[in-house]
Amino acid sequence: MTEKKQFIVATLMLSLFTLVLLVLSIVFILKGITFRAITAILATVILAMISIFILKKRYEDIKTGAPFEDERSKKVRMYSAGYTFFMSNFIWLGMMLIKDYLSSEQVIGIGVLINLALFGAIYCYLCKKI
Amino acid sequence: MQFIAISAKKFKMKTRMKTRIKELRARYDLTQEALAKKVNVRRETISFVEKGTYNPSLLLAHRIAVALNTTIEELFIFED
Repeated sequence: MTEKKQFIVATLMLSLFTLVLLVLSIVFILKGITFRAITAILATVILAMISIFILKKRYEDIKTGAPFEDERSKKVRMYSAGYTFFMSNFIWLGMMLIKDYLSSEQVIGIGVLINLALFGAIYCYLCKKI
Repeated sequence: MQFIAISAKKFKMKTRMKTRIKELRARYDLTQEALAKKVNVRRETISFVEKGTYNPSLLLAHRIAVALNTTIEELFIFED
């Protein structure tokens, strides 16, 4: 598959995911401003922002003919994933301590969002460090 | 005691890497982007290798050296 086709498929898939999450968020909001609705909105916003950032970068790469990923970016991604996994263990342990004050849905939602944010922060840090 | 002191000194020793990429790029009138295209990596990677922040793989070092008509030994300078 050529790079342009890959870009189109990625754009379509990310748009579809974002759209599905947006519809879910609207459905939840119509039922009332609950924790589930807030999580869905946050997830939609995060996914939309990441999608726009990645697609914009990829579009510029295709225009200039640069590869999307090379050995350094692979290293950054792998290191970020490793650090996030290591730290997520402690995050889930922390979430276990406060599980009595929250519902299981809230615990999973908060945990996943923290891990996502952590991955993003570590990725940005390592992009400048490595 | 002397052995411990020497070991500690060796442990503290850091090897710093310098490159001559910038100099050779200028000689061949190549931009970072053009060199990146030649060795099939992103421009940022060339920038980080040039600054000595990123240690490239042996394969990438070889590709850069070939692109700049030199050898790895001449391209990278290691300071202990």
